[in-house]
Amino acid sequence: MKNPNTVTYPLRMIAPILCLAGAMSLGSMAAANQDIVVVTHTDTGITNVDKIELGRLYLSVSRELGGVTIKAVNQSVEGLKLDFLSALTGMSDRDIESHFVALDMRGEGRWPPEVDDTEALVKLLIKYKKAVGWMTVEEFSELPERARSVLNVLSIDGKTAGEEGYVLNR
Amino acid sequence: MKTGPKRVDSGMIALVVIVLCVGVHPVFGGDATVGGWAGIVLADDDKDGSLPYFDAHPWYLYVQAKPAEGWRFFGEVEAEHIFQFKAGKEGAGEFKLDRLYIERNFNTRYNFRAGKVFLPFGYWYRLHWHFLTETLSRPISFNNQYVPRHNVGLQSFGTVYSGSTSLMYNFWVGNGPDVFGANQRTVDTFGSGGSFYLNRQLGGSYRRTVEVAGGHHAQTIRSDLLRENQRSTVLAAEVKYDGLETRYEHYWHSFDGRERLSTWYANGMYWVVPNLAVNFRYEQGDDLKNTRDDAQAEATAYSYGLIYKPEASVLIKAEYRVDEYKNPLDPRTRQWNLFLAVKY
Repeated sequence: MKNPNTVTYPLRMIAPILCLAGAMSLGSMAAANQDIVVVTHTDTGITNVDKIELGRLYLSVSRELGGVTIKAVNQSVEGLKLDFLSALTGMSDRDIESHFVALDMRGEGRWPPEVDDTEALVKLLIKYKKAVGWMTVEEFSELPERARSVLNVLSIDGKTAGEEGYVLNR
Repeated sequence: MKTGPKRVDSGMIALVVIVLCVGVHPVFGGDATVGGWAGIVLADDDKDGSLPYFDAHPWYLYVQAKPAEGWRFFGEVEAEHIFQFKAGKEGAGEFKLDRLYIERNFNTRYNFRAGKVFLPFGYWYRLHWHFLTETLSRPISFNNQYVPRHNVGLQSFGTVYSGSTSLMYNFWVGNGPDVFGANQRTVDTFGSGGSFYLNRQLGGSYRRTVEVAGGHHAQTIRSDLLRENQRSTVLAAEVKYDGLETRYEHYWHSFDGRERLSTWYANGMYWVVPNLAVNFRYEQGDDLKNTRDDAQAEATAYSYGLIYKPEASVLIKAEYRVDEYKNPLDPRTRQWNLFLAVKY
């Protein structure tokens, strides 16, 4: 027997709302998949990093992370590289470029080395071990299990990708 | 060192070529980069009544190479006044070695350099003028070269971090050319010193920082006619808060049997938009280089400037500067300049 207090709506009335909610949910998941994760070889023993320390490493003013001498590696995706550095340091693209121009002219440092794609990055991390790189959550999830098993996804200031306050959420 | 500058520089330029070959050759890793920057100046002053002049100055070419892990070469040559048109005359340029060193990197805290380097003494000396300095004209302290601009010898340096605070240190020993009172390499100099830069990021931001710096340099100058001990000290502070950048530097200099000299400047720069800044510098001090009477060497200078960076590697600057002197025989002078530089 139908409950007289229950209000029912024809499907055609709520369908647009359901579609919109679904799209928003998928959009949110897609955005989460584009969050950036910082990865390093498990041999480094690093699992959590300080945001400022990671920023210094990628700005080439320090060569250490968590007490380990390590090499920062970028992917050569120009927009994404600047997005990553900007999110990490709070600097504008122009500030970042000016910073590296100044470093280069003083002879004090230069841009971290770059690799073409995630596959090259993973090969480098596995080969050299004392290196750190970044990729999207989606790219990490698509890695073969044997690759993922030797990589640590680093939390930054104790927060992981997707978590509220994670600095590299996009 | 009795050797003339041209002979020394040609030998060192040859070394840069060797460094370039070492860096490019695949046997050594092939990890070499070549770069540099070039500038042109249009300027005028009312010192001698001459017309505005155009000067292709300076041009730098450098090479960096990492022949092995933990080792780095850096070499840079400079061509000054490649061609100059001043009051209708054309002058020849000078080609010389600006820096050449080998660096051993252990970690962020301990590193060593050997060769010819910039002296890390205060802020202005560390900057690679004119691309990184706010103005084309140099502060009184730098113009008088209280300490040598370069050091040829050994340098140790490193940085210690603690949270959002960092402490960078430098120690050096060597023979610094172009020292105060001895602009020729016909005299022997020997100097040593140290400096520090204590930096704090406010709220962990890279765009909000407070920094204090200090340094001391002592040197002995010796020639057939002169033997003199000189001491220089610098204390400085720099505050960057979003688009506002302020800096204060105070230099002191003393030498045997003569009075102590000092100069200071305060500089304020504000980035109105991300690529356009206005700049003002006020300075006071003993300007022995530009006054006729050492006993009345006090000078004051004001500098107003605009800085425009259409790209990170392109710089356009304009500056208007006024110098006033205590000595009534030294007239007030005005100068202006336009500067365009490109990094490649």
